[in-house]
Amino acid sequence: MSLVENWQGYLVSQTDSSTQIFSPWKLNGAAVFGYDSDYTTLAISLLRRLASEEKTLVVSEVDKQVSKQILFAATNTVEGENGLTISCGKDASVIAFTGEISLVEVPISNMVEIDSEIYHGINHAWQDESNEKNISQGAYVSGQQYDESLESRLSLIAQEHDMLIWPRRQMDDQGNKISENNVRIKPEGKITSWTKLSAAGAPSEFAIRAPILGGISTVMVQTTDGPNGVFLLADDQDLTPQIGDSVEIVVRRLYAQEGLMRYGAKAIINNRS
Amino acid sequence: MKFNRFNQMLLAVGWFMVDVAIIGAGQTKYGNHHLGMKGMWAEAAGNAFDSVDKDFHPSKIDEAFIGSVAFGGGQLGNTAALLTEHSGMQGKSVRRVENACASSGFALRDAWMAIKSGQADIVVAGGIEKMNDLTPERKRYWLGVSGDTEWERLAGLTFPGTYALMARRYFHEFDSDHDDLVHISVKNHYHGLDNSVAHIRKDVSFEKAQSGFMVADPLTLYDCCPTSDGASCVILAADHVARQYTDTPVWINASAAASDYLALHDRPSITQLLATQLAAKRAYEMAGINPKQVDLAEVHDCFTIAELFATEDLGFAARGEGGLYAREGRGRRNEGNTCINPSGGLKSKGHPLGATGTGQTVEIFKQLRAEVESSRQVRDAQQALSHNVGGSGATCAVHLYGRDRA
Repeated sequence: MSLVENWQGYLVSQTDSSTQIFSPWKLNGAAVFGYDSDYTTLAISLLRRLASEEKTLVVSEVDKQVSKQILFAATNTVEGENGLTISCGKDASVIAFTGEISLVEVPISNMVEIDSEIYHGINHAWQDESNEKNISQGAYVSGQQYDESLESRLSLIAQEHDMLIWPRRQMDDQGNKISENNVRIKPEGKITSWTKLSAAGAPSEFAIRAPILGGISTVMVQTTDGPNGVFLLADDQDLTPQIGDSVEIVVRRLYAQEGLMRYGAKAIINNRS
Repeated sequence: MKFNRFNQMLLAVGWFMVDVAIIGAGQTKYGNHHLGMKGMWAEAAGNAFDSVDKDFHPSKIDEAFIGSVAFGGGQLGNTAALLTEHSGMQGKSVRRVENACASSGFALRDAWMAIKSGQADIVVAGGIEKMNDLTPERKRYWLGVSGDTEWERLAGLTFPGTYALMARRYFHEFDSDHDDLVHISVKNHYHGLDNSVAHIRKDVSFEKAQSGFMVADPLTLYDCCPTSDGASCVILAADHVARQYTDTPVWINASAAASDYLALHDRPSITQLLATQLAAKRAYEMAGINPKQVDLAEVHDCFTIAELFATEDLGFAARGEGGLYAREGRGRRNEGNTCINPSGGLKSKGHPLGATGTGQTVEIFKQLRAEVESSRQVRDAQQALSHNVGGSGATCAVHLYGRDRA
């Protein structure tokens, strides 16, 4: 059996020709997605894992269940021949391989049983939220506006201009145009402040899911490279954040609007279990 | 003596400067109001007209600036035209001013500048918001439209969350904890108890405020202002016409405003509001006074931590000592220091977003003329300050007032 490692809140296992990523949750003996994950978020973390090992990220084929636009924006992957094939499994997993597929055993024993009631509640909530007929009372971020900052949002692309500027802006405080000198900031940092909003205090985009989760947590993070950001916490069910906690920035589902899933950066506390 | 070429020339060389007085001020009660927007505005404007000591008619008004977020979206466009036709001001030059919760603070500044420029002699500044006729979902949507939608709201933040981040960081950096905010809450409820126009008139004990329902950790229900319906209106006049309407005008001795990055993550510090500091500095310089000379201040306490910040940013307490100021009760009425929020502030008087700024001015007008309920009169008040903040501090208007001209 191949070694199973934790990676960005997921489980990763490798063979010589493939790498497979799994949701860490199970229900009644079967792997299931967590509260804000799907095939796209798994695929992003998988490619980030491979990129961290400095493998060439050329992708030839992407499973239709993965949003290609989001995957490429979040990982700076290029499309080309003789590259990786990204394929989705039935067991809340995604595999990246070249040549022959080589599946690993599903690491059920490493998975944690998810609360059944919350799991079903969240799934229904996502279905309701994703329905095109569900006109959200949430803040309207149009498709164009969302796409304009997609790389900044998913890949933490900043501008180098005396200091790193993130999210991107047009001019500095002296009125000088900021060049498109793009730098990817490291997806890590420390919590400088945090709050947990009660379900009643959460924005209306989260109105369906927040009551099920018992509220939502937001952290302010100073990244290792300098810029600050505010992020929703992911995988924080049993954790109370603290100022000074180390976090990793990952990509997860944010909310759905007009039938489209909106993905964004979230923080995972990684210095405590 | 409205604008003419001669006055304009004098203005240009600095030989002629108009002073601006408040000759009338009125508002509705804040809270769950039974009236709609037109009725509320007519009531506030009518109260302002009636408060003018000598004969006054709305036909005398040259311009009107009405602050409103247009909460609920019912009348986003041409709000001012719709409202002022219900207060006898048809045909006037009117417009809506929008700067989130600081909308009417900026409307007041615009009105002040209209007179200062020599273009107008009598100008109305007002504000209005109807907030409690919406479904909870729609209300929550509108409560979060003034932050950085793309980056803060989608990270789960509405204003309770934003101010909670500021509060927790402040407690981390300075010798302060949540009990300091409890002191602010208790004081403001005490101040608002006898205010007949306040939304929440109840005495709140320290223990009760300490154990409130958690809204956005560490802020509880007792740290958050209510969502209120309300309208407010003040009438400004140039010095050369003010005495036609009253022998006891209140003078606006300074008007200043500033802005800051909208999103918290773009600011170098989240434990102070730069826009407040900039606006306050400009205002004190303009009026030629210092913070110690201010007898009372209506400050923007949308959350108790916002009052703590204001205490420091406006210069009433040193940096890091806003908590101590609250703990020692130095903002309490008639206790020797600057009285902070004698009306009860947003916490007790209420916060009808667009109406709040000029609502603060209504309180100051009445305090400086000794016209509030005697039980809550700030003794011998000569100088006052209003501080109106938009959102989490991206915009701020500060005004200084006196019984005498600066």
